[in-house]
Amino acid sequence: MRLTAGDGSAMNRERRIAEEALRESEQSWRSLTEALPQLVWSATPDGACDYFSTQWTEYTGVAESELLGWRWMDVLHPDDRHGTRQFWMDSVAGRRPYDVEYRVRRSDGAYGWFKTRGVPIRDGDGNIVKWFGTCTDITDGKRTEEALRQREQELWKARSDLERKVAERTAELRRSEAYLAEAQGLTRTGSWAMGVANREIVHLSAQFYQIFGLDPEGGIPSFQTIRERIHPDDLSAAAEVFRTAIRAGKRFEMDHRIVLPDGAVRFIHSVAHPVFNTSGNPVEFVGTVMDVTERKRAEGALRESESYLAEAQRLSHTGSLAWVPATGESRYWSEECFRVIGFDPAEVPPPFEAIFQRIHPDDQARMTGLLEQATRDRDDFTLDFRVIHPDGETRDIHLVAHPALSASGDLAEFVGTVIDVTERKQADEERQAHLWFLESMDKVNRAIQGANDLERMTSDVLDAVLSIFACDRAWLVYPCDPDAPSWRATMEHTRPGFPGAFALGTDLPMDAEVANVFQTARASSGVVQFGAAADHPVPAQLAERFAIKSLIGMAVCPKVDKPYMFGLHECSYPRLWTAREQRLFQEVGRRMGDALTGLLMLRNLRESEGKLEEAQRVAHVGYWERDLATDLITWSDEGFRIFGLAPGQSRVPFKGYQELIHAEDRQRIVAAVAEALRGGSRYDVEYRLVRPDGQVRIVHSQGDVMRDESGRPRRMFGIVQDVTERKQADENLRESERRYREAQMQLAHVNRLTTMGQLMASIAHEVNQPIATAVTSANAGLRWLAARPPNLDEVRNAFDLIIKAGNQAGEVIGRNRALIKKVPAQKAALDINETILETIALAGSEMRRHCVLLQTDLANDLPRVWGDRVHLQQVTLNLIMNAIEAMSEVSEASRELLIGTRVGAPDGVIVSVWDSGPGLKPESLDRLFDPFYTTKPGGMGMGLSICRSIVEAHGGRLWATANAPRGAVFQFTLPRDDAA
Amino acid sequence: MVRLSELSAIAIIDDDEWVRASTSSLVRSYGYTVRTFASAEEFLQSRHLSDTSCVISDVRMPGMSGVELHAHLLSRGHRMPFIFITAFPDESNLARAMDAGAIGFLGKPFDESRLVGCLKAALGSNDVGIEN
Repeated sequence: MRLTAGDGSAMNRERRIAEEALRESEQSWRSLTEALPQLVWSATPDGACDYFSTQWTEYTGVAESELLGWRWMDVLHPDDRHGTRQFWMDSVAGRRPYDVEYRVRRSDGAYGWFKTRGVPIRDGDGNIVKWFGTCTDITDGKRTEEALRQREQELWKARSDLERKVAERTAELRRSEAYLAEAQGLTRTGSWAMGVANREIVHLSAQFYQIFGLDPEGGIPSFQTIRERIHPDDLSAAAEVFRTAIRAGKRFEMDHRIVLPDGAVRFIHSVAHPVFNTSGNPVEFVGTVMDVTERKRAEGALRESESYLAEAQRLSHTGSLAWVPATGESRYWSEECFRVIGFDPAEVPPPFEAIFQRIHPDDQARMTGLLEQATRDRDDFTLDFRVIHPDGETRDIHLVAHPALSASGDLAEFVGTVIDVTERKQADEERQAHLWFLESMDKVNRAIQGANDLERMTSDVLDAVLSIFACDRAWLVYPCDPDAPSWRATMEHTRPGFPGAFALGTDLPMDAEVANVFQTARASSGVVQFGAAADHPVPAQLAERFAIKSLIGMAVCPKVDKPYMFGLHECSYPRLWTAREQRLFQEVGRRMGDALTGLLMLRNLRESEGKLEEAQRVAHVGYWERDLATDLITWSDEGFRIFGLAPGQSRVPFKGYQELIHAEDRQRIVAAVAEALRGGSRYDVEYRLVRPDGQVRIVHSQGDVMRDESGRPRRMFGIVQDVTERKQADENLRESERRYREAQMQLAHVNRLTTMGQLMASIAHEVNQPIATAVTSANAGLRWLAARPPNLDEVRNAFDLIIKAGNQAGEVIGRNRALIKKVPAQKAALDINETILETIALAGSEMRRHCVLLQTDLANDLPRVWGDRVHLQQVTLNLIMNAIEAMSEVSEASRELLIGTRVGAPDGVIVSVWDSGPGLKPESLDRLFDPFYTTKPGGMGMGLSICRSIVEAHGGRLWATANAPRGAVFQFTLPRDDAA
Repeated sequence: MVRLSELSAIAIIDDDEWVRASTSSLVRSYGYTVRTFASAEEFLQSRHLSDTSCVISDVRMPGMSGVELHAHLLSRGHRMPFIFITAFPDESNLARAMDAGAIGFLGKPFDESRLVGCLKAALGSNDVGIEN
């Protein structure tokens, strides 16, 4: 405030009045400031303090004069001085409201916290005339804050271990911490004064306006206006406190809410005390309102954060607890702690004994030991143990504890968390089990893949299995067939120093026990267990012989052989194989089955290849392949051998191959290859090759051209066969056949001559007759010619007869000449009847000579047959001669011969010769056609044999049966001429 | 000129027509009267048994053989001379025929002079007078 000096008495009076008024005003202001709970001060525009209320001097115990100017700084806490000075100077220079907190040294030397606000007072021109400020004692608020902080710290301590595990939940907690940090700011305070009589508001500080959301420009509002700001729910209670205080003239303090025009609700802490007049009656009430909304909210947030914590604990199955080791008392259990250990959260924390009983018996001793050690060492510790819940369920618990020490360093309590890790542990175990399974299978697979023969594979797998299952024996026996007469162990591996059960590779006779084991394994789709704890007992004799306590096994079925049995022995204890072990075992078994399939097939394939090689070797057949891209020829082993090269040599270029071909054949073979490649006739040739040692071999080679999609030849593949021996054999065969045919022809000729010999008498008679006629006629003719006169008619008759007889004789001789002559076979289509009639003519005189009555029954619808006329006549003649001879044993009157022809099935001809002789003896029927078989004394026994050969050479058949009522029938078939 | 021989003819029996014709011609060229027959049965059934002075017969013929005919005629009291001509001359037939009184046994083809000799022996030398 700037005071201007005036002149004159009036002016002096006015000044006095003014000074009086000022004093009064100052008095009243001072009395007002005295009523304020705050320490009040004022300063000149340049920042030098010119007033400190009595509260100041009383609080600090320093006289106002010692505070004026800048000396008040001295009562500030040394740490706050610099900052406060700077801030005050900045506010003055910047003419900004000044708002700071600092500590003020109390008269007793202790420091109290003050929130100081200063505002500039301006004149009508807006110039700052004065600074006015209040310092509000916020020590209590700070304490509250401190208490909160301390509480928070405690909580933090309890929570610290949890935080790692509930990191995802701590975001909310941090938010609440932010709330708390906000709450550290002190509530702003507004002040007011009100006349008691008419409840007229006489003063409202700017802060009051702000806190209550009032417009400072609207003047001092009515009591009613302020009253309306009070939250409806708090109004009646607040009004009651207010009324009571006023009526009693007593100080009051209360908390209530107000509702701001924008609907915001603020929490207000109100303090007021009465101002008494000289008579001691309260005339005014002076009070402050403090906005404690933030603090309230901080408190709410704190409560909220606790509930978050509880929620986090519940979700993470984490309980927090504190217990005093000295007494065993559980000082604190969070709600989740009850659930984790298996108690009712509604109850109080149970005594240590009750908890201890929940601990799994196997874990109790360990826990006791650890607790004792931790108590002794006053150190952090963790413990994993199991608890058994009342429902019998076992849970895995992880305990983390931290010792809380007293100020003296003694162990006050342990603060800790208990976490239910059952699910995590199970998941972990499952992961481990899965890992074990995979690692084990990897070992087995590597054993399988590393081996390409059966023995090595089974050996390596059993080795792996032995270590995986940590058992005493692993074995594979074959066949797993209860019906097999014997079985044997194909492979066995035992733990080092452990005796094997089986003699490898030795066939053991099947006994009932082993058969039963095999039967059981085959009947099961998976693994079977034998042992005390399993479905089947270990067969007694086996158990005793090999000290088997437990056996697990399965039938392993390769697709190309009988099943094997794969198994493990445990000899030291009756092991019960876990589900995981069974699963792994079965998988190993299946895998081994696949591997066996592959290797057995490979073995079979190799055997087949070996057999093929062998077959090639035996048959002198090799195969070859010519790659047209590289023009290299590959041979099989036998192929190399055929060409006189060492088997397994590298591939031979086509040029080199050509040089192996006999020079005379080379051109032809190269041309044949080219022809086949061109798509002409197939490559199928026979040629001579010259081996490196000069030996010449004849080979038969044939092959096909393999083409790609575009039809371009890619390679040729074929076989080559050494036919040298076969060629020679063929030659030999042809030669022997030629000789045989020659011999047979010779024989047939001899037979014909023999037959003709038999006919000789008849032939002689036949020839003799015309000769006799001719001779006699000639004699007669000569005589008729010599007669005087010559009888020329007689002469002519005689000559006629001579000519006829000569012709007749020639005819007879000609008829026989073909049969007597040695001519090679000449087949032609011929009429069998004609052939037979000629034969009958040959034999006619012989039949007459033997008084045989001949009948013929020749069909006239016969097809022509393809044959050799002389040979077929020979057959017929033989049969006729045989019949004549047979019938010589019976009387002349009953010698009847019937020769017939007819159409025979299928579309051929049957020739039959019936006789009325004594017939054939049954025992002779079988041997009749054998060479050298004869019933005739002096007979050679070749006739019928030759007949059969001739008929068969014509594709026909010759056989004999009995005739009715007596005699024999010889019949032969001839196929028709195909060309006919 | 009528001769005795014309009254009593020579019988020639053979189943072969040409043999019959040629033999007949040769015998007739010597002036004899000849009658020919194709079988023994045909001769027996003819009316000329009594005026047959001599028989020239084949031995082997269908039906009755020459030898059987000779025996048959002998048994009936006909003692005419027999000359056999055969294509199958064998000793047993010859012996049997000669025993039975046959004049000759000739094989085919026969010698002309032997036949004439047999005829002369059978009919007497005077009859052969026609021979020139």
